[in-house]
Formats: sequence, C-alpha cells, structure tokens
Amino acid sequence: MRASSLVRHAVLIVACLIMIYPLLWMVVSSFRPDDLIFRQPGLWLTSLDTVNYREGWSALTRPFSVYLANSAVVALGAIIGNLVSCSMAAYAFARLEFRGRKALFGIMLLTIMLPFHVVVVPQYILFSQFGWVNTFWPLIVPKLLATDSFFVFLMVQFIRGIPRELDEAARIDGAGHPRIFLAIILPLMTPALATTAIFTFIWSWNDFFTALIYLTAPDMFTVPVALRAFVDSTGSTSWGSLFAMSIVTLAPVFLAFLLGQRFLVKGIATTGIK
Amino acid sequence: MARTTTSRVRKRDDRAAYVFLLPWFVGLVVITIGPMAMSLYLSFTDYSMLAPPNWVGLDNVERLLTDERLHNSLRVTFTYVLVGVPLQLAVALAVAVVLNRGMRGLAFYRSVFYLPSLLGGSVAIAVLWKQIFGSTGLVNDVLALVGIAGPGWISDPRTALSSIILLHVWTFGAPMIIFLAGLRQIPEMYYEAATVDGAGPLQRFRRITLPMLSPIIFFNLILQIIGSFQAFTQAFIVSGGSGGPSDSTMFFTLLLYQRGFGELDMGYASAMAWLLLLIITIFTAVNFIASRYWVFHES
Amino acid sequence: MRKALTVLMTGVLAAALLAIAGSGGAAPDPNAPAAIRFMWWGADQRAKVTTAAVRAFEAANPGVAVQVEPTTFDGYFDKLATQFAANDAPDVIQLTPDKVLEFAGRGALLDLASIDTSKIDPRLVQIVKTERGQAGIPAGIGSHVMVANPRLFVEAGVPMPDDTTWTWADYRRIAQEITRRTGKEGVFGSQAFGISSNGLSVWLSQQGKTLWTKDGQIGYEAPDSTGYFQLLKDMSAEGGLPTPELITEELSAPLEQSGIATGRYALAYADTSQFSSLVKAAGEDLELLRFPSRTGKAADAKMEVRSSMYWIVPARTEHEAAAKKLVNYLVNSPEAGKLLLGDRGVPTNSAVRDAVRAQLDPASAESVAFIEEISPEARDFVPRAPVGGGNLEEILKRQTSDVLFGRATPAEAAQRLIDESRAATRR
Repeated sequence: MRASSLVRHAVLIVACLIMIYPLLWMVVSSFRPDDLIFRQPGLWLTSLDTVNYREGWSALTRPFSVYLANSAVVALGAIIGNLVSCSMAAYAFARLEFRGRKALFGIMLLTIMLPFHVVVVPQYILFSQFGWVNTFWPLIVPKLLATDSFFVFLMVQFIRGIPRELDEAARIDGAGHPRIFLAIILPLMTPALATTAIFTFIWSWNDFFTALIYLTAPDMFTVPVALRAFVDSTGSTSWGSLFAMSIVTLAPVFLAFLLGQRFLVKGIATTGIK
Repeated sequence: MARTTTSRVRKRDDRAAYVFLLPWFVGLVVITIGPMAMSLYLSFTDYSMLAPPNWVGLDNVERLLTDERLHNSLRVTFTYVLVGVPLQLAVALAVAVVLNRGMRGLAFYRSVFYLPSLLGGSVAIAVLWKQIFGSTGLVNDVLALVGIAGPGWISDPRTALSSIILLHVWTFGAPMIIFLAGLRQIPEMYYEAATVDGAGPLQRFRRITLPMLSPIIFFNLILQIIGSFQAFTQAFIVSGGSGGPSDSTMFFTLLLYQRGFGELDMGYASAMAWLLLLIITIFTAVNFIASRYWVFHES
Repeated sequence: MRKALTVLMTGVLAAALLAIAGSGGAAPDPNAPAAIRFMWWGADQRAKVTTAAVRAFEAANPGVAVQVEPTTFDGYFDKLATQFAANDAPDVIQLTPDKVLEFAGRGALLDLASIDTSKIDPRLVQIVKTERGQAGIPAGIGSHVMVANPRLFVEAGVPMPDDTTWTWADYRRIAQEITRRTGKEGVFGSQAFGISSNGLSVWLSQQGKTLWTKDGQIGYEAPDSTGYFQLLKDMSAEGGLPTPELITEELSAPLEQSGIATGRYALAYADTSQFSSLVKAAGEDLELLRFPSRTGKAADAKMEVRSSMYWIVPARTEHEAAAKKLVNYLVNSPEAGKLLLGDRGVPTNSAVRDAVRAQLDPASAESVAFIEEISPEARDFVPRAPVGGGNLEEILKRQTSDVLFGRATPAEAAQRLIDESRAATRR
C-alpha cells in the first residue's frame, strides 16, 4: 500500500512537471536578462535578477498597478453582475411556473451556442450609441443582464438539486418568492455562487478582445491589453518584462483558484447534473 | 392539491417570474437578440463596415457552398472537435479518477493541473508553445536524445493541428474539476459491494464509475463540443492569426474572423456564423437524443 | 444579511436599467476646444514619443485638445473596422499603405491634399493618391533591404559581397557556402525570402513587372513568379536557406527570435525601420545591403523606397481642421521630428530629417544614410494593391509553405498565387 502510494505520487509529480514546464520556463525567463531568454536553453538559472519585475512594473505609460486596478474593477463588477442576475434568472427557470418557460429556457441554451465574433460589431454600435466607449460599462453591464447563459444553466441545474420541501415549508409560513429566494435558495447555493464567481473572475481577468475594442485611453486599459503593449510585432519586444508582468497577472488568478477550489468542487458536485 | 390552488399559485408565479427574469430578459432582447437579428440581416448583405450594407439576397449562401477554404476549415474544425474533445475528456477523467482517492496533497495536485487552464489566451502562450513544439523545442530535444529528428510540430502542416489539439488537451482543468465533483457523489458503498463480489479495479471502473458518472460526462461533452466548435484563441495565438501553415490550423471561427475583419467582408462572415450556429445546434440536438441510450439515470 | 441582499439586488437592477436608459452622455460644449482622437499601433516606446509630440502640438495650438489612443498591433484593424462601422473612428489614424487604399477605395477617407507635402519625396505621396484625392500622408521612410551579419561571413571565410554588383546566383552560392562552412546546428546562410510580398515585389520589378497594375489588376503572370518559388525550393533543399519547418515557424516569429537577431543567419530580409531594433537584439554589428540583381548592376536591383505607415483622417470626422493641423504638425514640424526621431522610419520631410540627424543613434543614422544612398537609383513606385489585395500576404505564405513541403510544384504555386489573388480582389 505504502509503496503503491509512493509510486502514485512519483507519477503525479512527473506529470505535474510536464504540465507546467511552459510555466516554469516563463518563471525562469522572467528572471533572465532580455538578451539571454531565447539563447539559454533549459530551466537552469545562473542568477536571480529581479530587474524585469522592477522595469516591467514601470515600463508602460502608467505603472502596472493602474492596469491591475482597472482589471480588478471590471472583474468585481462582472462577478457581482453575474451573481445577482444569473441567480435570479436561474431561480425563475428552476422554481417558478410561468407561461413561455420552456421556450425561454430553450432560447437561453441557444445563446450559449452563439459564436461571439458575429455580434461584436452590432454590440459595439449599440454601446457606442449609449456613449459607453472608453468606459467599463460594456464589460460589466452585459453581466448585470445575465448574458453569460452558461452560469444561468449551471445555477438552474443546482437549484433543481435543492429539495423542494424546503421552499414548500417556507411558503406555508407565508413567505413570498423574494423571501424564499433570499432566505432559503441563495444560502443553499453558496457553492454554485462561488463557482460562478471564480469562473467569472478568471474569464474577465483574461479577456483581451472586448477590452481592446471598448477601452481606448491608456488610463482605462486592463491587464491583457497592457501586456500586449510590451509586444511590438515589427520592432522590439521586452520579453523579460512581458514574462515578469504575466506572472504578476497570473498570481491573483492562481490565488483566487487556490482559495476558491474547495467551493468549486463542492459547487459542481451538488448541482446534480442528472 | 386542489386545482383552484394550483392555478392561483401559477398566476402568482407569472408575476414573480417576470420580475426575477427581468434583468436576463432585458439583456436577451437588447444585448443578444438585437445584435443577433442584425447579424442575420447582415448575412444577406455585402457589408464592408466602411460603407452601409448592400442587400445581395442569397449570394453569401451561394458562396458558402463553393468556398473551398471554408470547406477545408470545416474539416479542420471537425477533426479538432472529434479528436480533441474525447481526448481531453479522457485525460481529465483519468486524472480525476487517480486524484479521487483520498490522498495527501490532493489540493496541491488539483491546483497544479488546473494551472495551464488559467493561462488561457495569454500572449505568452505562443512563445511558450514554441519552446516545446518548435523545431528546436523541448520535444525535439528529447527525441534527439534517442536519435529521432522530430518535425517542426507547429510549422509542419501535417502536425500543426495535432499540436493545437495537444494544447487543448493540456488545458483539461475545467472538465477535470467537474469530473472530480461527480466522482465525489458516487456512494462509496457501491465500490465496497463490488470489491466483496471480487471485481477488479478495471471492472469497478466500467461497472460503477462510468455509468454513475455518465450524466456528468454528458454535461462535459455538451459544453466541450460547443466550446470546441467555437475554438479560436489558441489557434489564433499559436499561428499568429494566420491559420497556417497551409491552412492546416484554419479553424472555422478563425476563417470567419479573417473574412470579417481582415477582408472587411462582414456580410459573408455573418452568414458563416449562422452556418456555425446551425451546425452546433444540430450536434447538440443529436447528442441530447443519443444521450437517452447511454446516459444512466438513477431513478 | 437578507436586507443587505435586497438592497444590493435593487441597486444592481436600478443601475443596469439607468445605464441602459441614460444613454448618450453630456452634450458637447460649443466653446470647448476641438477635442480630437488620435490612434496608432505600436509598443510602448512609440506611445511615449508620440504622446510627447502630441503634448508639444497642444502647447503650440491652444484651440485643440488631443486624446491619444495607443493600441496594440494585435487587433488594431479589427478595432478600427468596428469603429468605422459604428461611425466612431478616431480623427487621426496610422495605417498601412495597402489599408489606406482599401479604405479610400470604399470612400471612407478625407482628402488631405491641402497638407503641405513639398518637402516629401513626391513618389511617397503619389502612391496613395486616388481619384477621391490624397488619401494619406507618409509618416516615415523605409526600404525593404537585406541585412548581413559580418561575423558569420568571417567565421565561414566568405567575403562580404559587393552589393552594387552581386547577382542572385552569387547570393545562392554565398548562402550555401556559409551554411556548409560554418557547419553549426541552426546556422544558415540566409533567411528565406518567400515570406512577404515585399520580396516578391522586388523579384517582379527586376523583370519589369509589378504586383498590381494601376487599374487594380494583377501585374504579372504565373511564369514570372515560378522562378521565385523554384529558387526558394532549391536553396532550401541545398541548405542555403533553413529547413521548411524553420521557415514556416518564422513566419510568425517575433523580431527578437528571428535568425538574424539571434546570430544564426548570415543574411536576412528586413525593413530599414527595423534595423535599429535588430542591431540591438543581435547585440553585434549588422550591415545593410541592396538586393541581388539579375544583371549585377545596382540600378537593376530595383530597390524600393517607401513609407510603411501613413496618417489618414476619416471622411466623417467632425474636426477636419484640427485633424489636418495635427497631421501637418507630425510630418512637417521639426519639433515633432525631434521627439519622434526614427520611430516610424526615416522622417519623410527632408527639412525635418536634417534637423534631427545629429540626434539619431548609430543604427538609425546608418538607415538614413542608406536610404539617401539608394534613393537616386530606387525604382519608380509600383501601383499599390487594389481593394482586397491586402490578402496577398496570407496567400503568398500559403503558397510558400506548400512549395516547401512539396504540396505544390513551383509552377502550381505560381498559378495558384495568381488565381487566389484574383479571387481575393474580384469583389
């Protein structure tokens, strides 16, 4: 038993190393001087030079903290938006009887399948009519309006797994739907909410295209847009700074995942996708 | 419950439901349906984005039928979906099964295996991938040790798609997490009973894990298929947006993007998007129908 | 807890609805200075010098405020097209010459003929002149050239060629010799030349043909480019050029990873505007060379002097005067020149060029000298791509890799190049 467990750990650790070799290479490269990054093979580090971090932080028009803060605002807005609006829609789909439920549910599923690129232009025209270009609204308002149907679907499946007896009991006590939703369903679906929060955080933190199109002033740039300012397709790219700041960017996501993963597993586990 | 009560409750539900659905409904109508309708209209026009659209009727549909690069991109995309999705799910399931037994360091392994998925569409991915699959990358260095001269995985049209499929498999974190969750739900007593009956690990996997997990496999399958048909970022980053070499990684959405934004042919690109939506819908529907025969329901 | 949630929900809902309803924003103040938007692509270094030039412009023109919108090259044209679709494009925009003509061809650009171009090489200006007027103003001069690494020539014991007399046969021999004599893994005589339309354009010019004709047709026939693909295939097979894998891999490689920047290729193709970055990345001396010719005469090398970036103003701008003023300042003002230096290539205005000469770094100074040296013998400008011609790069890359991997013979690739170019420009 003990030997087999040792073997299993050994295999897993080797697998881990293969999995994260590219990441390790990036971490190592972030400590290398620019001109050695593509010349020195392997992961051996001759010196631990933090110059890429110091330079990368202040290399762009604004300090990197500005971009991190912008990304944080967008991510926070997106998380709150998704949590509130998706859970409300999910409650209606999972628990309420109303006319057109099946049709609307079908349409909701259909919107998951819609290729994103084709609505970009019409949406841009719409949001620019609202005067929202170069604001965070186009990145946040769609979440406030539950356009990420994936999460509505996830939460519907989750709520269906919560025993109906609980809301029946509350209803007999005279509770209305807002109270049942707030006092019973929401607390019980904390894990699903955590899942949504973490996925939303990761997706919105990494979103490049939407941010690129809507944000025009450097003061408003989010991290993915800022990172590409290190890259010049025709001129020189500061790879060291790019890698260093990529790691700075990755750290909060990894942390969020590390902290949230308990809820994550529990969240999906209890959705009862059956 | 008496019939009158039901209808009274239903009536009250209608009002409450519309209130709860209001944000979603506003979003659906304004942000989703509006632009969708516009793209449907655009798919019957010639639209450069620089000038107003011109109605061309079914011209774009005709082009869909004769566009050889589009047919090639469908081949590439179907290969990616049919090979990549099962492969990624198999790896995710295998890792989840190995990680499922209560073992030390579980949280650590889980996080490390999830790490590549966090990297997503990072700019650095293209460079990192080249470090591994470039003709002077890690894979070929290893192959050279045993005397094999490997191809330039990314740059050879015969292997480029495989390396992108591998990149996809590499980011198996999300389905793995979902599988882990599902495995947790299978009551331990089933396994105990099977062990008593003398079933080996393989048999236990086939007789208990697979059927008990089938709803979750189905859920993953549906979402991964939808996601893979729309695959864009990885191919875009690895090929620098070109879909090369020789169109071997020209995914449908990549071609759509090139036609729409590169060639300023948004009318045709819109028609392509609707074709893709149709394909995904058919695939999903077939999957739902097929699921009746293999997805196990407890009750 | 419940109360907080209720408040939060109501707040979020109200915010969403308000945001939807309260569209538009404040009405513009008629007395406010003209606020124009200015967009370009490039890395952060360009953003810094350009923003500095913009601030100097604002100081000199108190009536105009400029909002700078530096953008990454990734997604630049997508963003631009989307903005044009929404009638929300910036007022001054940096664009490639092909796109300038494509945009102008669809009537999207303002006529800039009123901007003074008297001190700019008229050929650079003419090239983006359409029947609708002057579509753009050149932002910086460059030339497609060969770059040589003298160290590898010395290591191989091959003398550096005289670029005023060398031929394609010399080039082929030299490349092969260097690969053979250095005999190091990954070291090659030359980078491949089939990967951009600039190289093909030179090849055709040397035969008296052009990529495109003035009326937007294809200016050559399949046999004219067969030799080009054949040479590529032969040189790759005999070792003068890298392997097919390496060649295709480098189609999308960043500058720093290219063979010339990492000291692995003795010869490479580049634009003079990249020379300074290349020298920096390589960390050693590099030299600029003319292309080989068919006859061994410098004038027959048909070098091209051109601008790879133009300033344009959208036809639907609301600030025509202010936008033109900014373009004029960027191109014709020595103050702007001193801040921008060689960032977008050699300054187009000869007076500005003279004013900044002393401030340039050695590599940039070398580029300026090279451009001035070849300008007299440089070929006449060839017509630029018609609408849809911007796809030539992708089409050419595809044919190149098909030839290299034996999926097409050079003659087939040459034919397909024509067919696909024709299909792409038909609409």
